[in-house]
Amino acid sequence: MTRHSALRESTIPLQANWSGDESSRALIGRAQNGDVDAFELIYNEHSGRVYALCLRLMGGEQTAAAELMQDVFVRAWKNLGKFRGESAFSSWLHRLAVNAMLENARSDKRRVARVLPMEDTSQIGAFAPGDSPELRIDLERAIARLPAGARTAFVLHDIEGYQHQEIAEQLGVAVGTVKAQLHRAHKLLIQALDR
Amino acid sequence: MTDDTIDEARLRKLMDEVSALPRSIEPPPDAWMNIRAAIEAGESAIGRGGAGANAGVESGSRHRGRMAFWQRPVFLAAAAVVLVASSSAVTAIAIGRRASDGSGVDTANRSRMAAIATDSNGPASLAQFTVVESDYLRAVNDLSATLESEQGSLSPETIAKLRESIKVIDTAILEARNALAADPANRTLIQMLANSYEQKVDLLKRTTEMARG
Repeated sequence: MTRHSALRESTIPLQANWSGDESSRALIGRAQNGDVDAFELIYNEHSGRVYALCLRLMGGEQTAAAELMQDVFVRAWKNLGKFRGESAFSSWLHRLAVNAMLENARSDKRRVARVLPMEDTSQIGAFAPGDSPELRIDLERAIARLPAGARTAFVLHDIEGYQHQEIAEQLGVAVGTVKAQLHRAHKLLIQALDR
Repeated sequence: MTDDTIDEARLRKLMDEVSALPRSIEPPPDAWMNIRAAIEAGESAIGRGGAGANAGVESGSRHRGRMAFWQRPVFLAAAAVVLVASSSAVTAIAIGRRASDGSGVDTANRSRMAAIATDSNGPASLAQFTVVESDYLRAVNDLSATLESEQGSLSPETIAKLRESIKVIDTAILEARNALAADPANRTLIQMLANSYEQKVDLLKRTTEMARG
């Protein structure tokens, strides 16, 4: 394991120590053996995509997204021994992220108030009729303003590429619920972007 | 178009815009520092789940309270104390020495901060604390600059241990500040923050003295 000796800069990337020939699998192997530096390289490789997922799942709330992302990587570290390579490591991380989001929502009563039940398809959403027709909402903001259930379905299906069945299994809901939430997301986004 | 149908052309337009969204977004720069501190502190926000990583759903994982453990300034401040007073003989020597105050912190403010650090009542508010915080920050910067110029006389192991200690203390400071942002009148948090600054200045000061011989 390597350590750099800078005193004032505690986050100097370790790319200088990373062999260009070292595969991701070898890095994961090193991390599974307790090499935190190797895990940092894994973090550097995957953190952007994980953070993007967390940011969109958390409705654009940067603090909550950062907390979720950090929780995901801490969980990943603790559960590295369970990763057997049967799926892509990025897919495994993304499952951890969704699971962490759901568990946080269940344990945090404040967040539960914002995370709507996936079965509830009757919510009108954040686009009140009184919104100014002149207001042009860009897509990221529109996604952030979706009701939580619709947003989760949309982010996982249309951005991250998961299938309805995969989403339903991970969220513990019916496939029909996922489809209904996705349909609602499409309607609300089209409505918002057409203004 | 009925109320529940979606125009296919508009849906295709939406999907075209979605496909142009970035798949990767740069996370906050301090994120890895927090993660590493959590890993090195050796505790996890979750228990050991029973499901395999590829089963799809992580089961058996529970949060130990509303905040993830690495967000608890109590834990991080304690970890900072443990790391600073670690078994490293060199670090212990650096901390054990008592020397004249050369940290550059205004004496009056240093006395005030020491009082804050030891006073169980703590300062009345975060605003009161921030009056002297700037002195600590200045002292840290000055000491760090001095130590960088003197570090040639220190062993790599000492430097590495110092780096680890500072990192943990920095994390404790960051988390205490974040917690105070939501609860600025929390005297316990303010006292923890003061303790962390005190530890950092002391550690840098004594290590600098050791580097100078």
